[in-house]
Amino acid sequence: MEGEMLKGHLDMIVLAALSAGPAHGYAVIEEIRRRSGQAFDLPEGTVYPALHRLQEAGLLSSRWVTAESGRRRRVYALTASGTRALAERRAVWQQFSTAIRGLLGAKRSGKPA
Amino acid sequence: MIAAYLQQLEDALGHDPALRARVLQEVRDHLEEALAAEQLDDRLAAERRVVARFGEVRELAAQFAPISLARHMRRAAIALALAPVATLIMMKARVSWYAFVQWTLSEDARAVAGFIIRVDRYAFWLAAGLAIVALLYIARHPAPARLHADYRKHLHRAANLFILAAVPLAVSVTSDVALTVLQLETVLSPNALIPVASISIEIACVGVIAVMVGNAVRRLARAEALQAG
Repeated sequence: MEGEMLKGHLDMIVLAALSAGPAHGYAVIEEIRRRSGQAFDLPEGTVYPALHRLQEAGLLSSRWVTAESGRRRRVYALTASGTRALAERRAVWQQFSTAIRGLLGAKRSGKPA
Repeated sequence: MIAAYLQQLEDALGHDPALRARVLQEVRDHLEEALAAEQLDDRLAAERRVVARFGEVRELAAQFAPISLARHMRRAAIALALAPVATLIMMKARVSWYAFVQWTLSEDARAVAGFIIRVDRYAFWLAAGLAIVALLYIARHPAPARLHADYRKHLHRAANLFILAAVPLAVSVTSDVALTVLQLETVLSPNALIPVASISIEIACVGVIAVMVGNAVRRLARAEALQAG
C-alpha cells in the first residue's frame, strides 16, 4: 500500500495496534504488519514520532521496562482518552469506508442523456 | 552500520538532549531486536537491511522536529502562566511582612510609590492575561506529523505571545524592585531579609522565563533552518 496514504492514517493505525495491549515500538510495527496481513509496510522508524506525538496529545502513556534480554525499552499503552479517540476514529473511518465502497461499487442506474 | 546510523541520529537530534536520549534508547532496542530476527550469515548485510527498513535519519529527525518544538513551547507557556502566580505570592508575602513589622513609607516616597503601584498593577494583570492566552493557544494546536507552514505560523504567533506576556511581567517585577528599594530606604535592618528574598525570587522567575522563551524562539529558528537546508 502507498506509504503516503498510510502516513495520513498513521495515528489511527498505531492506536489500533495498541488496542490489543501495551507494547514497545518494535512490537507495534509487528502488530501492524500482522493485523494488516503484511499489507502495511511503513518505514519502521515512522512509528516512533507517531508514538511520541500521541503521548504528547495524552492518547498514550509510556514507561521504561527491562526486557529479558536486559535491554531497556519503552512500553506504550492507550490511555482512556486514547481509547475514546480510537473509537471515534473507527466510527468516522467506517462511515467513510461505507461511503467509498458504495461509490466505487455503484453502477449507474439512470439512462445516459 | 547500526552504530553509524545511531551516531547520525544522535547528531540530527542534538538540538534536544532529552528527546535524543529517549529516542536513541528506543531506536537502539528496535534495531537490535530487528537484527536478532534476521539471518546472521552476513552480519553487515543484515544490519544494512535492518537500517534500510527503519528509514532515513533526516526523515526521522524531520518528524521529531514538531514534537520537540511543541513540547518546549508548552513548557515555556506553563512557566509563563505560573510566573505571575509566583510573583503575586511574593508580593502578598512582602506586603504582609511590611504590615507585621509595621514598616511605612515616608510622605515623599508615598506619591512616587502610588504611581509605581499603578504601573505594577496594570503590567501584572496584562502579563497574567497574556500568559493564559498563550497557554490556551498552545494547548489548542497539538503537534502535527510534519513541521508544515501552518504549524510554523502558529508557533511564531505563540512565540510572539510569549514575548508580549514576558515584557509586562518584567515591568511588573521591575516595579516591585522599585517599591522594595523605596521601602528599604526607610528602614534597613535584618527584617529586610524577607523583602530581599521575595524580590530575588521574582527576579529569578523573570530570568527563567527570559531563558525559556529565548530557547523556544531559537529552537524554532533552528528547526526552520534545518528544514530549509
